[in-house]
Amino acid sequence: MTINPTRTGRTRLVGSTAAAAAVVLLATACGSSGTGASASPKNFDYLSVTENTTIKKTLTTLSTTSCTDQNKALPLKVDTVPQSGLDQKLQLLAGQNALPVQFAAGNAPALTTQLFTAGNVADLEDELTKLGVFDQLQPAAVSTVKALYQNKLAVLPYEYNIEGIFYNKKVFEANGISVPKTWDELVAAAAKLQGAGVQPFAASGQQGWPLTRLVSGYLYRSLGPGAMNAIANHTAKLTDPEYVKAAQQVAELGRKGWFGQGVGSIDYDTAMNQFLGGKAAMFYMGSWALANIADAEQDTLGAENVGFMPFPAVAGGKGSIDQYPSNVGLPVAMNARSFDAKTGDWVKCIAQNYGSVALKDQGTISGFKVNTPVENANAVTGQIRDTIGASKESVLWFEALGRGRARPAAPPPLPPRQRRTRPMHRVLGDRRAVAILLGPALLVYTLVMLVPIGWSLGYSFTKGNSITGFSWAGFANFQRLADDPAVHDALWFTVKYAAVVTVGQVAAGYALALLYTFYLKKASALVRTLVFFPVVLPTVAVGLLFQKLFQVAPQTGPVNSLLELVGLHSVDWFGSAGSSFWVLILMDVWRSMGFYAVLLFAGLVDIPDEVLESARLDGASGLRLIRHIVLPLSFPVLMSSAIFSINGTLKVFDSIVALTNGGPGSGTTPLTLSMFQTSFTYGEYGYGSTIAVLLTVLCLLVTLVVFRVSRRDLTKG
Amino acid sequence: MSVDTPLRTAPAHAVRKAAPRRRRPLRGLWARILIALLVVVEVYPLLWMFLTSVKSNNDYLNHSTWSLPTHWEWGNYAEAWTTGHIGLYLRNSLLAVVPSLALVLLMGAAAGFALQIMVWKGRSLTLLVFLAGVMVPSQMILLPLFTVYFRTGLSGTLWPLVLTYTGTGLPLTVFMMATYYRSVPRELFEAATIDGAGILRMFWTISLPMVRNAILTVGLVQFFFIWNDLLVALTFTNSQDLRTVQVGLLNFTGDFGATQYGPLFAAICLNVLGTLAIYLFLNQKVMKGLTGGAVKG
Repeated sequence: MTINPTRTGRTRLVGSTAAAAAVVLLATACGSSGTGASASPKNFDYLSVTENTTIKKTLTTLSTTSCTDQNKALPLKVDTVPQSGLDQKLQLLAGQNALPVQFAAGNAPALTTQLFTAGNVADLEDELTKLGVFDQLQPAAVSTVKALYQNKLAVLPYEYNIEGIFYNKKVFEANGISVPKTWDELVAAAAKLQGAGVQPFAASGQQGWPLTRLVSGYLYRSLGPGAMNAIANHTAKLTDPEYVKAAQQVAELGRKGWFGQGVGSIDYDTAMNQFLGGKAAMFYMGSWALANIADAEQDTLGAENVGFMPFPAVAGGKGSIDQYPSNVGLPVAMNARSFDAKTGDWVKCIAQNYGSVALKDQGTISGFKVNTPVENANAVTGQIRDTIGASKESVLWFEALGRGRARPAAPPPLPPRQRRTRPMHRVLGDRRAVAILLGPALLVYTLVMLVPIGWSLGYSFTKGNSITGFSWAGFANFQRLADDPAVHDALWFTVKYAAVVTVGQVAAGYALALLYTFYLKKASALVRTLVFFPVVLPTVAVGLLFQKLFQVAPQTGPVNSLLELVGLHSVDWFGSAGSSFWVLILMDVWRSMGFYAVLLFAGLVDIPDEVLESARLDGASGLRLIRHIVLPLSFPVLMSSAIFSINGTLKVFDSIVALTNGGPGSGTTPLTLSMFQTSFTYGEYGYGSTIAVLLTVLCLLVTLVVFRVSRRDLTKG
Repeated sequence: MSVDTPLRTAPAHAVRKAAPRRRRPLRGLWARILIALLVVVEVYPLLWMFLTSVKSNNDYLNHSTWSLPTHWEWGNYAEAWTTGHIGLYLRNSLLAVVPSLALVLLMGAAAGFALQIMVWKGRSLTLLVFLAGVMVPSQMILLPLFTVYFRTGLSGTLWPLVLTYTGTGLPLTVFMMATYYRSVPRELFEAATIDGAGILRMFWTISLPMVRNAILTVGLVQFFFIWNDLLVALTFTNSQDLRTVQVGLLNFTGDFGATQYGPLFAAICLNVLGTLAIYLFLNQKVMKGLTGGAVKG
């Protein structure tokens, strides 16, 4: 036994490092409370979504041209967050009173309305009237914003789009089709096109909304402009016969194959490309597509061959063909608390100049008037601009008035929990040493995990979110949890997924580890590295890869090609929850088996060779050797692998978001995603916490079982 | 730095391969085919990613996923580097990951030692409390943490990331380290105590070298957990200058779900190259630890 006695200096190092860490954390815990960063902003901050580049670019242009003075007084500063993280970010910032001067409004209007009611969002009708520039807004845009935000001008219409059907003029002419005015004419035209071997419609089923818009388009024509408000106000249900009929009409188009094969997995780009490449005759889309149409590289069809028609009328319907579904693209709200004179100057300058700059530089139509004449890039652009200019009334789109309710209340006090370690004795029981060694870890763990967990537990007895505040709800959330079929499905999915993936990952990893140890031996390094490779791939990339592998359209992916090769039919893998589930399983096993292989390999290498040799001499070989000698000896490391795996799979989030985003419907939604959506997208933080409690309880039960098993067998080994 | 353990069987390299093993050629062939298949399944995506990274968007959309690019668009890499700010994001990722990893490993090893080797009442319960943390979904702690970081003025720095990664990484590390310490013979420490060694010195000079291999393995695991994290980074980075690589990759999603695939995959390739290098480096160390025979984890 060699122990190097000259290392005492290091001991002090450990102590001081630990102490330093503790000080940092204490400083964190006891630091001064922040100030509400609202009054007199230093910058003209704009929180945008990453996906939108036009508003960002136009505002930047303005800051160096027409609005230079305003920019000097209050410099423009743009920050971005991905669309999927926007709602969460806004709620977190609003809870701290730290919203920026202007920000992209949440995905559901309800969130902005909540912020408005709480006094966080400026009433722009008041502000713009005071500044004398309210007349710079297009009336149609004002009407759309008001319809969305309970009759308040809560956002600026930096973009304004109308939706309708773009069509291929050449194909229409060649087949002798005139622009359909009614739904029946549209169906007849589609049938004719299909008969002539042209795909009638292009649509992105992966995005979902391009299809639901067709349903709402039909509803606005059959039931009139109030169709979706009736749903939002609970005076009608989506299951009412007239609503079901609209969905059936659209589904009928799909059933006839008029959207092409595998519409469910067609992404936005592909659908756009199908239409602009001349492969499909019609394309329901918003006027933002004008940018793509004007781009000669994308639009091989040529802008002059693209026509635009309103959604056709439905026979006997209450709606009119000139009511266009319209939206404000990315609506941008302004912080009421930071709205001062300098901000006002900026807004005034924007109102006067934004319309022309956006149209000229970006080809985007906004809800502001165009004060400097801009020439139209092509005929369709002119047609759409005229339509907007003449429009006085608009209808909303299908999802516009989605879930989410406001509830005012005050937050309850939350008791922090503390745990004390007990004293100890005997030889290796130096109390001070335990404190030094365990202290930092326990402190960080308590502050970063235990306290927040207790805190969130407290939220599960409340209703509301950080904008509206929290109100005591007793056990209402738990009662709701017990009866919520969506949560039951998510729970079942989580359990099923965790069980299958854990078994798959560990089994595949073990098989590989055996291969490394007993077959490849010293030569295994290269194979080990190659198999490990998928572990280092970002989830985003793996998700894309598997989408392409299993796609049916626009090109048949390799998996389906293989199926066709052996005489089977292609499968629309992402079309149903069942097949999506298996793709997910395959993806997660493929992705992590290399990791488990390395982990288990480390355990197998440790099995002494003489044990194996003597077993071989006793006549054990192959599977028997593995079953009776190798398996029992590697049991501890198998157990830790199982813990790793269960840990990851019960909490699965990233890979599902990347591959299916919980779809189709909510068919592949685990508890984590359900919790995330409930808390942040629908703003029901209290109920979201309750779902998290359910997940935690589930995890704890599993942990207890695993813990028992592993402890028992490890002491034996 | 090898410590021979009197109670464990000595490493068997000396006596390895006393008798040469029989070879069965047929089994060898099947295994070879299997391995070849395995390599194809694992390597093809790498190739696919690389090919996609040099395609133009039209190429990507109009031609088969599996075809070669009609035109090699090397500009995608420049685009990824400038639009993607990959250099900046890489720096941020390293600044967040390296300190967290060091803290997690140091604190985790110390806590594992205290929980497994040292003797005191309540250590089993404490270990269970740590284990419970392994299972808590991180979504649950986001809102409280955001509030605390904001109030303490830590938002706008990389500290929230370091602290959160350290805190969430600890439970698993502590549990793993405790498990590894279980296989280190206690008699070693008892003997050292009789020799008059202090407990802290024992931890640093005896126990750490003995679990070096375990630390590297856990380090590897934690590195990839933290490096690939999206949720925490997305929640706590509130400005462009603080983004990590994973958050940066989301930059390539454009309007209405449109994506610039070429630059996206160029960025992914750059990212993967970096992580692969780190893995190869760590892997060397892990395997050295394994074959050194000093430690049996």
